[in-house]
Amino acid sequence: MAAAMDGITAALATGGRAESMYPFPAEAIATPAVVVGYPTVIEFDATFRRGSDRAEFPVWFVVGRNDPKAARDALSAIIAGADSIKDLLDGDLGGAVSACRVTGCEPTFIDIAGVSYAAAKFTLEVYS
Amino acid sequence: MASYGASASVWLDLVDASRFFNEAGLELAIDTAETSTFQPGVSPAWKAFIEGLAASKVTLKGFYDAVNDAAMMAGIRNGGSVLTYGPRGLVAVGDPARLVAVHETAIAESSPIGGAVLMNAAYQGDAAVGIGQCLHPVGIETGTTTGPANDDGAATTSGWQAHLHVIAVTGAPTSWTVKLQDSATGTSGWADVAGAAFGATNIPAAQRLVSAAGATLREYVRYVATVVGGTAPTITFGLAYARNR
Repeated sequence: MAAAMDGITAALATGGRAESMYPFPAEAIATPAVVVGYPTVIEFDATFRRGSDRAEFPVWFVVGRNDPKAARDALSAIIAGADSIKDLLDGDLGGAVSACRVTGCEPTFIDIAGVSYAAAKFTLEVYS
Repeated sequence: MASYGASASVWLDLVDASRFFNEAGLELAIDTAETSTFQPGVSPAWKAFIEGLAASKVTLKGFYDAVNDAAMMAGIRNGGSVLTYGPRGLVAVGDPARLVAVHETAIAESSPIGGAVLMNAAYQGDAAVGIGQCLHPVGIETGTTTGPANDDGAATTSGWQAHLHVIAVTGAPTSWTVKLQDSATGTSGWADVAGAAFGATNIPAAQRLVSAAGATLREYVRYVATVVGGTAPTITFGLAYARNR
């Protein structure tokens, strides 16, 4: 789990993203930020002999919401732009996992340390 | 006692393919010919049959991976493969093993857009299926080694078969030779089993040995792996054998 979570932020950093990276559920952040949550699903035994397990990780791209239009534009770019989260994460996280794919995204709001942020919540399916 | 399938093992030629598959099956079928006659002499009457030819099939399903893709594609029209299947895992000496000489008869890949790339394969058995046991789980040995004794409960005179899957060799040895020995007591009197020395190798290789019909195999069986030459030589292999029935 830790390797995959570290691999997620490492893959995004390799892609040239300048945001603060938190490969764990941080209690305080500096925006813009990428925050990797604990897996919402862990399924063991995708193959015999623990050859592969399957998990789904939430990955939040978080921006401030003081300027709503700037927040929207930032989320739009990270969802569908040239350096989108999906483009950067689909693959194998630099060998940290066997395979992974961003399967969905949900623009939303998130509270961290009592502060409300705009965010895009990505779901990353991972096969170890 | 029930067992989960998650621990199952599949050794296919030069690969421990277990970690790439999530479904494996062995099907044995025996033909029968009806021999019912008039006035069978019992009432109510029962149909009568004689046993005919037996056949086996193996099916595998799992995920695409460069390793299992190479192993499965290499099996196409290759003259036959050595396949060893452990329904509940080949992780300890004595674990149940199915030894099957196979021809790959079908292979399929599929790429669902929302899922992992899948691979399926089917194999036709080409000889008697060995219902036997693991003698060496896939693992590494670093020098000449004698394995532990496996007790089958009694000697047999029905012949035997054995599968060796050498998955990796390092240290540039001149050769590794693996052979079977048997004993009546398990503590002494060990002797080489006639015809049970696999060919010497210094590269990954899969071999299948079949004894002469009616060959004797004493109650206890073990292996000896002997290395010649090399620098810190190692061998990674799996080994299983079966007494014919």
